[in-house]
Amino acid sequence: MNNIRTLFNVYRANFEMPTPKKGLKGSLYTAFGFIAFTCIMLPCCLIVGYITYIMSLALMVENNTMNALLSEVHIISAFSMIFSMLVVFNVLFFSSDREHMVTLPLSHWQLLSAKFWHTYMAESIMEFMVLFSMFVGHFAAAIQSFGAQGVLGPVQILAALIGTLVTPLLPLAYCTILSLILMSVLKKVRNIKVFYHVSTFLLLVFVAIFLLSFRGMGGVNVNNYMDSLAGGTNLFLQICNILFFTVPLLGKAIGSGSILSLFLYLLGNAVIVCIMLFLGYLLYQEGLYTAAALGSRKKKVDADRLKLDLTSVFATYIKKELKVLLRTRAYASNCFYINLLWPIGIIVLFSLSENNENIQHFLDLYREGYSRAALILLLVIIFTSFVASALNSLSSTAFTREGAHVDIIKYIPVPYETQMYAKAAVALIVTYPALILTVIIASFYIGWSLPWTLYYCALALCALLLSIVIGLSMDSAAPFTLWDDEYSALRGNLNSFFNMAVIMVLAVFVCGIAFLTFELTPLGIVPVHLLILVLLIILDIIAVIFGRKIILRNMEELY
Amino acid sequence: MDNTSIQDNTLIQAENLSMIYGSDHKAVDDMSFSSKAGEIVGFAGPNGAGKTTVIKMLTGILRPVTGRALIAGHDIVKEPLAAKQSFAYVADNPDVLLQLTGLEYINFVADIYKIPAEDRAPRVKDLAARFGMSDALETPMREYSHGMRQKLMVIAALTHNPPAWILDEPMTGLDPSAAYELKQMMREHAAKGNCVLFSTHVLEVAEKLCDHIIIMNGGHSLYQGTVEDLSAAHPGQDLEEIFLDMISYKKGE
Repeated sequence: MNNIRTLFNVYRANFEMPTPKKGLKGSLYTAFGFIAFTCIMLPCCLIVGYITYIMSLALMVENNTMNALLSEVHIISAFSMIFSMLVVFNVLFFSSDREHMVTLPLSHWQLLSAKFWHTYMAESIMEFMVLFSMFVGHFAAAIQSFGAQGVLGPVQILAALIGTLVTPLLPLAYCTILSLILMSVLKKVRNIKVFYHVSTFLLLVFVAIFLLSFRGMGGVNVNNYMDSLAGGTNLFLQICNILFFTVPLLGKAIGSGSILSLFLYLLGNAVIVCIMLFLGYLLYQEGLYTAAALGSRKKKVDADRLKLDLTSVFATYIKKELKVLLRTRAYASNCFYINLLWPIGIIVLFSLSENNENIQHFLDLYREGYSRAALILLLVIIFTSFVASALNSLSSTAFTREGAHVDIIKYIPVPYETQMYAKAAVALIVTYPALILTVIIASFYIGWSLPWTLYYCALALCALLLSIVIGLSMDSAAPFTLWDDEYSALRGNLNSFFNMAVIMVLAVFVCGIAFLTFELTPLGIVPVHLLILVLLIILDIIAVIFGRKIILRNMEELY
Repeated sequence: MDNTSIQDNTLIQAENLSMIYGSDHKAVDDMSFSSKAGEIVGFAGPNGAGKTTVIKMLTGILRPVTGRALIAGHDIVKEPLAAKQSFAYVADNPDVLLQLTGLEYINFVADIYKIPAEDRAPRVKDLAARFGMSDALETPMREYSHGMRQKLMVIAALTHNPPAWILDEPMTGLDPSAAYELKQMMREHAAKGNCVLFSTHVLEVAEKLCDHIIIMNGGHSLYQGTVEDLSAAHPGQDLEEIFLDMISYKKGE
């Protein structure tokens, strides 16, 4: 056991991204940390807690005390499985320390244990906070419905605290078990590409189960969802009650204060972890051998037919960036294909809401020229355009993605300015088409005229440009280049997280100006639209002038 | 445990090792050799010859497709822990756990090998002094140069002083004084009845240091024996010329 603790401590010490501690950069990072906490983590927790409170309250009226909480914990567990799958797979089989660790006199299951527990601690912090908020929301609703007595017993509180820490174990253990089994199956074909689609497969499965819960109910909406939870007929809840079988036991412990249920909850989790470790004992060594022996077929090439044409420096830099993005699985999914979320999302939203009275009523109001509906749409588009850039992390990892070879920025005979513009161009080339497509699809459904469609395209461009400049400025200040695998470059990178927080603050600021101008001045909705575009253009000009200087100075000072 | 290996003082034994990457790329084909106590064995060969692959099979990173590797009589696949206790390994890439300080990394490796504090302290102190790293031990490894990282890997690996040392391109990145120290230590270690196996591109190092040399190309062994025997079989040629002849290198191409 000592070896596991030693390894765990080493991984923990090696995990933290070094950030500037002194001077202006140090102060900025402290401020970013505060903004990230107050603008992302805290609001997320408050929103989740409030949703749990509202849902629980509504179901408690129907005498159903636990299904709201259970369904939310299941949703979190499903997301945890979807997002942890590739992380666990890479940590177990493709981290850069692998070839050093396997030569040490450690048994492979000890290595697996240390990696598992470290991943659990490193990846679950936000999940702990969200779960805690859910339990608080549930208790608030229960106290309001039934009074504090009998709701806030010591077992209930203990169960909630234990549940906060233990619930993320089960999905992560499932991911580990799946990784081990799939790696042992895939070793025969010596091709792991199949594995990289498992996350997408899991996502589709969970979404399909979720949507099937509305079968025969006349549409996908909150009312139907709540009805199915109240009646206990929700398919997603039923299947997840089996898949994440310990969660209902936790629900029982929290709901009725049953010590036996709490004990069974802990026992269930322990059994799954033991099964995972046993499978690791049987399969992990084989998986490590397979990972070490992977290789690709060597092609015979005709040297005379190789493409060796001269390309401009700017174009070749962009090509290099795009090829790295597309050929690195972590970047391809998290930075490139994630942009499809917006056009696909809007198609799904409009398709599913065809029979939704509220949304149809809102669209009717918009088409009739109701100003406040136009304002809401404007705010949504501003917010989406800002968040799209922060979500794909293209600009906030532009320097981080160079990894240990970040020196290339310094030694190649290409001006920093050209490199900076190439990195910005890549973020623009990848993100903007998805936003244009989203606007065009929205235009089709909502019925915008061509000038309005062009206006929203221009608005998206301005917001995106601002986000890109901020992302590049932040990442160039202290790029995280010591990552073990490409997933660490994204998830271990505080720049991405802080960038998201800063962008959200900026989006709220611009949305706030639009909202307040409309509410507090006699300006009509069309002038507000124009004002926001002018404001963004001015902000863009300021950002480009100052951001350019900051990024170039950061590149000069890089190491 | 294979007793025959121990009885004839064989500390590293490779028997018919073969390795295939992916589905069809044969990196090593039927490789056999042994290294006895008191010997320094050098692996030489061009890039892609299969040297690192053989070392990875010896250290348990790769499982041979055929054959077996024994360290101090322990099969690396069947008795991995006993085998791994018996060797120190320095990889060709020293970039690992760079957020740790040098001392934290050494302590981590020493903890894994369960080296008591009373043995650890003098040995680390001695190794750090010999490699000129005493003042850098409390600095995070991310701030080290490549050579310093390489030195630290050597210090960490040698802290537990096992009978076999397996070093993959250990001289890469070392400054002349550190390279000299390492060569001295390899000689001292072998002289105490242990063995050292290392890969290198630098033929001069192999010539001066090795009791036994293995020249590889295309996954095959082209020569195994002493440097003296090799020179005697190719009169009038220095080791570099012999080596280039063996790997069929054609000048000017």
